[in-house]
Amino acid sequence: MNCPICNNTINENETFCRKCAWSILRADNEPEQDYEERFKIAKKNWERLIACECEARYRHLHKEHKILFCTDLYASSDYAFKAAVDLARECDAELIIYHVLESRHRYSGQIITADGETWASKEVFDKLRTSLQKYYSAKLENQPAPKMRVEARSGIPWIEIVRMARKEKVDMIVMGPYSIRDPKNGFDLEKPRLGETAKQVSLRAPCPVAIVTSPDQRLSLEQQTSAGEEK
Amino acid sequence: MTENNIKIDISKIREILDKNNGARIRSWLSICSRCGLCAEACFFFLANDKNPKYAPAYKFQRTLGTLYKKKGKVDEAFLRECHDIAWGECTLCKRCSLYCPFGIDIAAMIAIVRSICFSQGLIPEGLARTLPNYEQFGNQMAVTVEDLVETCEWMAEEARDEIKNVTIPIDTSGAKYMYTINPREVMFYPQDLAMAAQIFTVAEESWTIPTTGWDCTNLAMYAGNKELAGKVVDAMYKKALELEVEAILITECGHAMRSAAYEGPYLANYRNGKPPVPIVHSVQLFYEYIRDGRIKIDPSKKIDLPVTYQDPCNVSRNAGLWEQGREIVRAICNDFRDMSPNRDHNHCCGGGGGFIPMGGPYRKRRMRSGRIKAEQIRATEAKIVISPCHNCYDQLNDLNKEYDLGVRVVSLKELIIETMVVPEHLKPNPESQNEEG
Amino acid sequence: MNWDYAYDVLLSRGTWIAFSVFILGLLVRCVFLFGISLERDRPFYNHMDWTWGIKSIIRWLIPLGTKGWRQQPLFSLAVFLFHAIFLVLPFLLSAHNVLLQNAWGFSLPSISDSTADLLTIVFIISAALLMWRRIARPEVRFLSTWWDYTLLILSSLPFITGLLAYHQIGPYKVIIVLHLLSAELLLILLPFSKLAHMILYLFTRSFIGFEMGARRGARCW
Repeated sequence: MNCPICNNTINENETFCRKCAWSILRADNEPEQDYEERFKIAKKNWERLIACECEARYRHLHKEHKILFCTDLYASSDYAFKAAVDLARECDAELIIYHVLESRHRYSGQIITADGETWASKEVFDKLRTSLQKYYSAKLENQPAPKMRVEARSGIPWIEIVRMARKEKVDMIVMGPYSIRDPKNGFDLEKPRLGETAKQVSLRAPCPVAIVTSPDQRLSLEQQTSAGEEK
Repeated sequence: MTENNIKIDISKIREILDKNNGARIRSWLSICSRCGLCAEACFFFLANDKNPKYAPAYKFQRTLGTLYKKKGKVDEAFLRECHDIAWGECTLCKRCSLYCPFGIDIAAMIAIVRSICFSQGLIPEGLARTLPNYEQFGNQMAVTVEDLVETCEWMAEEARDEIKNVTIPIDTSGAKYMYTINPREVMFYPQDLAMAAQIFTVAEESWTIPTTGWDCTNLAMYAGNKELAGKVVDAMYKKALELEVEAILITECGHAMRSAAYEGPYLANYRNGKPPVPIVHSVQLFYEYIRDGRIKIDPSKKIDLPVTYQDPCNVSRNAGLWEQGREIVRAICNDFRDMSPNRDHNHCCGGGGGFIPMGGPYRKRRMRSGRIKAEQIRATEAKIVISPCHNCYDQLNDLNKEYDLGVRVVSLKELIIETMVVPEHLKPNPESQNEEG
Repeated sequence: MNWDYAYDVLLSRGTWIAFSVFILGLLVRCVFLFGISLERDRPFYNHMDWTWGIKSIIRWLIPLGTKGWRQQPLFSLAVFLFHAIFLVLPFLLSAHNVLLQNAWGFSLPSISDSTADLLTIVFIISAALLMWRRIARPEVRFLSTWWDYTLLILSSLPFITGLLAYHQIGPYKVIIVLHLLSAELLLILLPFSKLAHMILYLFTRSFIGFEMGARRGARCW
């Protein structure tokens, strides 16, 4: 049979997977020897994990910590901002506030801004950066603020977020679960979901990703799940 | 750009008119018998309720014909009309030339009108915005070399999850193919690079991505800026010669082929009209892979959904690769349905000739003229549309939404990846992954 | 007006002038175009490949031989008959051959007068079809200029008048003068109008043959 966790082949005479050591828990009838061996494998796996090449690479490169907070320009991502600020304060990291203006026509430099579609010019980005700076520094008034930087780019959000995370070698990405595409149809709290951007970023990012939901959404998510939304 | 008042420089117009006033243009302009056969060949004409103003013969007589008749002495209103016709009513797809009994190359004449409009500073903003990018970064989307290399690394990492040992070689001298891409792949669809890398790894190809001249698209050509277009294409030739590659490989892009293989040599002033390095299109190469068994298709993975193939004008009609494209599709799909008309007689998707990069202001027109393509696709009842052209891909996606076609638009690479056999020795073995990282 | 005198002048001096203008005109035009093509039409020479050129020419000479023709079959047929008869019939008429015999002492093989009649009628019908199409199809009507109509009428006039003259319908002398006049006018205009496609057709068609075939490996029909 195959291991349900790592898909490694398990020989018939064996009771557990020799690759991932299967489960943390100990079965009642498991012989002491097997448990010891599993424990050893798990320990070795962990050593491998922390010694993994990317970890090593990041360790020596990271003198400073960086948290990438991705905003969607709506107050709904404020919960994620709160989490990002807390994290940044906690580990004395630089907080990068990042927004990606979506390119609708993927061939041309046209992007979607609050004023509708426009060409991606320097003015558009300057304006965006200024308002982001204003909005978020106002939130941190009279509080110890972490080191902050505002960045904006255009493109497909998840691609630019992952690209930025790789480029800046950030320690963590913090973002909301999904955003509004069309301001006319706002958040539908009845129908919470994980947006395309959050999905792709969490799958492809080079670092851990924290997706921070608002309490309202979490509540409706739970309702949805209990109503049997998932197959 | 087009909003400001323009100052007409008649001497410049005359210069362009004079330079092009050869035997061909003279013959074409004088012998067109206005038989109207070209009209029904043009999808703009068909999509706009057969309005005779969209007949190709009218378009070139009205623009270039009048310019020659008036010897370039025209006013702003007329130039604006030319601008409107040259970019808003023609995608330079060359279909009309196949329907003209005299074989008049109408697209070539409209291209001249474009360069005349350009000389007067009259071009669509979307195209105008790419030009400084070409000048500064050598590609239309202002992608830096750093970004390109980083994206290649990123994608190689991702591709290694699927296939072992995938690398994206950068600037490797002596490779067989120099793979030139559309900056859109770096900016918007990096998975395209990962897919290409996987295919090349499985086919054991020797390839490389160059760090200059890597943008094979040439919007300067469509913007009528022949000088810059020449520089763009020459940068690519020069890089290929520098890397001593056997051939330049063009990604799944239509007008890149037109630029690199056919118009490029003239734009870059190669007098014999032939590129200094052979140009190979991805469609041709993938066809050879499948034909020669370098890529094997898993029969059990072959696509069962009905599939149709969109012939990009600059790959099929204008580069003769219609059968190669079909062979690939037949190899990877069980239920292939051709559109009608097809092959070299296909209709342009409506996004060619610079239409897609012209962006929002032209979107409405683009959707209207794309009706013909939408109807063609609907008639096949296909669920997947394959197109080996980035331009068609975008346009088909837009049409899909606009006309509610309910299809999935894919590139050839995408389906080849889905159906190909990954040889045992290239399958990633999970055991080693932790150790290697 | 002296119709006999007009007839004599048109037949003797008129034909000479018409034919010399026709031949010299075409020649000068071709030489001129050849001259400027050397510098300005490199694509023509760079991609020269006569197998593609000839394929491109022949394909379009066959009625219904191309997709373009098949798109409008009736028009295709009319065009084919119109051009074929226009080019061939004048040389095969016994009346023309008699004139040739009288003038230069030789003649070409003639066809019977009834066949000639039939061909002429076919020609007139196809010319009428072309004219009808020009008016009836909105896009063609929109494109057409008065010059297109004039040339179409002018090129069918010799055939109409010839038929009338042969059958002695209407005032014979007037009609025969009109016959000569229209034919000569046509010959004189030919090199300088769109009718020059008689020769230029070969070059434009072979160019697109080279362009699509030799350069791009694609068809143009």
